[in-house]
Amino acid sequence: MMTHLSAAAFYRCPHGAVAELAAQQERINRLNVFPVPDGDTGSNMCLTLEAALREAERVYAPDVPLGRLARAVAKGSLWGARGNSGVILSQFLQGWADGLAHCREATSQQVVEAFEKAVTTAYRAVMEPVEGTMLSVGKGAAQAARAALSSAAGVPHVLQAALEGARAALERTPSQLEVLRRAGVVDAGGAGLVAIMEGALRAATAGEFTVEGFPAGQPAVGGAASLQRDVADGVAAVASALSSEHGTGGLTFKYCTEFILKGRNLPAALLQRQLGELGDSVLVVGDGDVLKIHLHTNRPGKALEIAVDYGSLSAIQISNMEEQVAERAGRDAVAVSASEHHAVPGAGGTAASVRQQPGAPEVEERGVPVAEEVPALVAVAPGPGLAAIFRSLGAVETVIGGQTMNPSVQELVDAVTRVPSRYVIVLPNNKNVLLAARHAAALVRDKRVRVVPSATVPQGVAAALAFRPGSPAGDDGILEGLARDMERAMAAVRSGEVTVAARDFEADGHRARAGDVIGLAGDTLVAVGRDRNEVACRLVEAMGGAHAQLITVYYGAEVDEAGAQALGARLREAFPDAEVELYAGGQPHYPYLLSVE
Amino acid sequence: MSRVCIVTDSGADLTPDVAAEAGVRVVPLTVTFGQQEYRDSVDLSPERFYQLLREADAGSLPRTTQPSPADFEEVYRPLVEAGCTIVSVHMSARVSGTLQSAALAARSVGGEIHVVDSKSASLGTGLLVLEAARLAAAGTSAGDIVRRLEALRDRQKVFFSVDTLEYLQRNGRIGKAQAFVGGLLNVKPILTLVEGEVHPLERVRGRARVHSRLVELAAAAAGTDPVRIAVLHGDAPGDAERLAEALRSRLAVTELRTALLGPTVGTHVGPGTLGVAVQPAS
Repeated sequence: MMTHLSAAAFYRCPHGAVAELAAQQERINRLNVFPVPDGDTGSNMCLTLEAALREAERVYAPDVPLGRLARAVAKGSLWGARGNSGVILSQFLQGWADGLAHCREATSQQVVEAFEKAVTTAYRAVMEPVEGTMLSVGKGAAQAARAALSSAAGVPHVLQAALEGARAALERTPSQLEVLRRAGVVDAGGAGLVAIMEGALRAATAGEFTVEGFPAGQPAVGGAASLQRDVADGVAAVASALSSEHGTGGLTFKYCTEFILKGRNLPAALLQRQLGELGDSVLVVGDGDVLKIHLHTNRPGKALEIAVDYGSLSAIQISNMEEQVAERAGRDAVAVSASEHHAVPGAGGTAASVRQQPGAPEVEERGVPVAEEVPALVAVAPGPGLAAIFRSLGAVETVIGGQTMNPSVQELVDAVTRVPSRYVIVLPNNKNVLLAARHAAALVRDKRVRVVPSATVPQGVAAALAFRPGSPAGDDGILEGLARDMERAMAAVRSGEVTVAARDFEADGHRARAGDVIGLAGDTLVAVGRDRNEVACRLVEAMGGAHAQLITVYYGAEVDEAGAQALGARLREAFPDAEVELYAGGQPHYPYLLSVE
Repeated sequence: MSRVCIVTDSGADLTPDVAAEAGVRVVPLTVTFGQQEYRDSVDLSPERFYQLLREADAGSLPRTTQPSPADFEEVYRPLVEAGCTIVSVHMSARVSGTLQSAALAARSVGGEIHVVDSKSASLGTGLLVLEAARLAAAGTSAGDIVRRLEALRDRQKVFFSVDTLEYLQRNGRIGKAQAFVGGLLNVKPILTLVEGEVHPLERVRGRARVHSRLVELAAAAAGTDPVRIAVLHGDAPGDAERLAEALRSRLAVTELRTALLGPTVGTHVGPGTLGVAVQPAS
């Protein structure tokens, strides 16, 4: 019986997981609540895991310690993360690696603790954790693993229990999230996590596996010297930086407080609520007699006082996260100085990819704000036309997300790094890129990076209009002020999308078959039909076109100019009081992205 | 006490009858259209200017030239000889060399000639000129008039939007608004004058938004105080009328004039420009 999880067995896990996830990828993609052909959870998680696998292959050696291998998996997933699901997956893997940090191999006890650490870390990564998602599936796995732990339990037993806990939690997700119930699906991210665990478990406990198509030895991370940092610290720093609001400001809740509560029939839900009033990232894991509690709060004493009413406390740990972040920043600075030669973007070979900002100040007697001090804008664009539009509005770097429209964390970090300025604002322009953007912002340590959370292209355009190139930042206050102006500008825009339904579904009083043209306003389905332009008109109507002053359409790669002009004519006729503007966005999957103002 | 005479240039956009009524002398700039030269508001009315602009092809867009010192001397000398003190109020030195010509002429002619930089243009300058004329008619001394103008010009605000930054850019008057150049998106800049130089304020999309932002900016500048307003436009009378109406209802307006941007300023901003000048009335 396997009493320990060895590095060799663990090495098989990412191989098995990738194989399983790749096989289930399409099925998982189709679980998306919105039947829209992008942000594919299955594809994003697969790409993220492939990056993890490549890094594992790079460090593997016959005598490598388990902890180092786990760290490599975590690091690869960190940089390769795409989409929200990819980012959360990478956080699970960070926590898992933290739990196994010093192990050559792991006991069942350590495996269970690694699961719990994985869950804690993943919850911390999300601003507002929601049950009924990948997080609850992970939590279910950790809880089941803990429950199965006993002096006699071998590693396979614990892993199997974790998998079953995950499956059960996945089945519960429709009962936790209304949108899942109505769509009749389980959570896609959770399904991805289950697939990963299935593949990993099978590979870990079997001796054999076959995997196709992975060129060995290619590093998951890019060549940029900026990655020669102390990874272990960097990875841990991300976790605390993410919980400190992009690492650019102070922490809302300063003390990471963890303890074990032992008692009888402990009211986990009640405790979750009570502790929720003291801070955030509250996690209460366990069963009736033993709870592991974690939260971020400014009143750690109060948290302990509340808990001690229910039982006895042990393994109490209170850490000052502000100090931790500052400490790591100091260490990272030392580690980075050795690779300083990279830090001149625009020099030599990368010169072609750096554009001078429009309106960069020329030299005057009064003293010129240097390029490093002037805030720069980086925008994610789903198509080349939109990339050009954002550049014309002042973005110095644009990142095109490719067919899934989701750039990896690495690509985002590279774009931010290339910019000469020390102050950067990032526009994700897609709600599925938001988490990866925040992740990337936290990873760039020698700049102040602020993500302005544009969830759609029209929001991003409105925000970019409010971006004022040319004024020096000086201190955080101006970057923050600029970001707030941009957020205010975003708030007045209504966004809509016309696309093709990827599957049959029913929502908001409409039914659609796969292949129908659908119009979405925000997240609500408002129009279904067979003709693209007709659906677009009805969508604009539903978005308040009758009172609109300005209707803007960004048409995608599959629409030609004639088709777009036809829509323009139709809109002008239907809404004579509004100005109508049409632009070639070149984006995949979405024939029309539009805004009504 | 000697009479105070007010002089200005055609860039102040005071029409001939308004100028005559106020007793103000206007020195014209020269507008060149292709091969033809015109003296602004003498040989060329604003209406005719925009007609020519519509007929012009891309290559032959207009240019302006400031009056020479001699042009100013021609006006100053007779006035000084008739015993006048002169207050000569002109467009911002940052957008035109007119002020410099006036200053040179003043030095050459001698006598008491005060040359004042309005740090503005079009009716932004014009409103100051009219205030000076009012004070002169009331018997205020030249020195006091100059002090009053200098105080007023700092409190006066101009906000405007152009259809395209191309005219400002080509004529070299774009100032700090250079940063706003190059939109693929039909973005309209909202601009202002700071120390007589064009400065960018915001970028907006859509005519309706231009209108509402101009109103809001004017309202913020005026507060609850009584103000004199000038609405300026480059051949966009409908927009100007709507703006005037909105301003009348939002602000405590004691006087409102609407003016077509004349050839001098019109050359630099182009048709479609819409603007508002706000002057405290007390």
